[in-house]
Amino acid sequence: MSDLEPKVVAYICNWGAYSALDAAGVGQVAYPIGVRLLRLPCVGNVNVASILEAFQMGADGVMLLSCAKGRCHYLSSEDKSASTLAEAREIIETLGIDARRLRQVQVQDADGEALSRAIRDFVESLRIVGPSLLALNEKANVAQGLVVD
Amino acid sequence: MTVVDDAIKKSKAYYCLGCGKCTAICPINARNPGFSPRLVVEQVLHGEVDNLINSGQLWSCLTCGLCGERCHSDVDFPLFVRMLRVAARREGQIGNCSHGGAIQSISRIMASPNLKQDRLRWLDANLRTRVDSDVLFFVGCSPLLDPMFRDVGARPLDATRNSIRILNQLGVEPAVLGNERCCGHDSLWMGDLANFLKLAEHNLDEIRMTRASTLVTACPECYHTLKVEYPRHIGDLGVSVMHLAQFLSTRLSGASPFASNINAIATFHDPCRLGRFSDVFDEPRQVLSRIPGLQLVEMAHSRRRATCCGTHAWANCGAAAKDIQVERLREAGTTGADVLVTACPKCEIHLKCASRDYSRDGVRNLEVIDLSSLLAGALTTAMSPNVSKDKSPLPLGEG
Repeated sequence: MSDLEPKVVAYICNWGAYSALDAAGVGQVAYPIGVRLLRLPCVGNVNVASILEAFQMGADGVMLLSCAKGRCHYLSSEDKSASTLAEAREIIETLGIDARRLRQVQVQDADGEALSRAIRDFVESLRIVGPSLLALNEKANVAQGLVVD
Repeated sequence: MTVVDDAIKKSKAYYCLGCGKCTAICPINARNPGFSPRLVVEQVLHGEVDNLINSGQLWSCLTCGLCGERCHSDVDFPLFVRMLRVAARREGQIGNCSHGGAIQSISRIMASPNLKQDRLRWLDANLRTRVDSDVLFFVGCSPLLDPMFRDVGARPLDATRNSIRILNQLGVEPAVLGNERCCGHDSLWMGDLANFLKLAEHNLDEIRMTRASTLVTACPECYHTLKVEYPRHIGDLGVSVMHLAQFLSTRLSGASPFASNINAIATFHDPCRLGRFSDVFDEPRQVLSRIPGLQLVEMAHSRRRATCCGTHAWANCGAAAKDIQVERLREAGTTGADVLVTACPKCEIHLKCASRDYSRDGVRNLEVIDLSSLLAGALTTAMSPNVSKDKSPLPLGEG
């Protein structure tokens, strides 16, 4: 994989959003190769730490792929992810990480095309923002054997 | 293992007589008998380091230093634990990080050389700073912690703004650093020496570029790290490092700027890094005594005997930590105080969190407040238009 391909950590909800990913698979709809999808029971439970750790490890972008508005399987995740995102944005902006590197997209159930489009849009916007420079520090740490996690 | 030998040597653990007074006074041992400072030392001296590392007990220590107050052999147990944590980390044991490790990630991100932070957004037009000032105000992590702890009612940035307000009131327009990093306290105490050194070097460069001869900080952890650990690990900063309380105590010899009457009874919680670690006990009390109307009372465990706020370096916030915090709040309540004043933003966060969770559990209704915020509330409105928004006698609550 080219180093120029943006690396994205995408937390994806098991319910609506993952059904869209399933549909994308069945329909053979492609999405960018630099995206690491992490399937979770509910994206509302992604905390600030999970977002920050992805950036710390050198992700160029972090995505929250959640269910469509009003379609949360657990009813309440929308408020939770809204406050998590607001908190995370404030922290990353203070740290000098472009807020455009963090995006939430609400995906319609089983809409593979929309999911793929959302990921492609995000990856294209990350190409404009440029690669994250934080990866260099982590790579240097690991290469020197300074960090064992 | 040379790290272990070094830990034994530097902390003078080989002097340990095995008397167990450290264990008797340890606040963690009182709640979790499985953790014993005496046994930790014994295990290491008997060569059972691997067992100790695998037991995870190294991460239970609060590094509050209360054990050192009782130790006849002058063993530096916090230093011992800190150095062993470096060894533990190399074995893949990184300890329990509260808040999902978010704050550790923030420190690690700040260790990156290619960072262009936007960390001064909190500065407003009422706060006067000057790039070429003789005094540098080291802000610390408050701009990053502020969004994280609003839910417990703690606003670390208020303490930062209030510190600058007070400095302005005394005619000091401090410099602040746009690309200051975390001081590295938490990385150091969690055994992440590599990132501590990176953070320290960044800060050293930034500080040396200023024209300051005095560095003032409102955070005891920054204070101790900059004053003691930086010279120990990377070299002299070239500035005199002072905690805000120390700086104020030297500048308040003339007319007091505190003219607003605060009719309250206050008790002071000594933060570990400021009190036991740095011997700064009198200065915060001297400063508090200059507030008209404020009556200062002492808790049974104060000064050298002060109890820890229950957690350090954002590790191990659990049942033991909460119990220590609730007991501290109860102790403060029994003095008859209305306000528990601390000079550490982290103590403030931890104690506020506990008072919020356990306010119905026999803990007297007590306001936890940072020293700088209390002082800013006592500045006269006539002399300081900056505090006009603080209408109540005490700058209580959020905002």
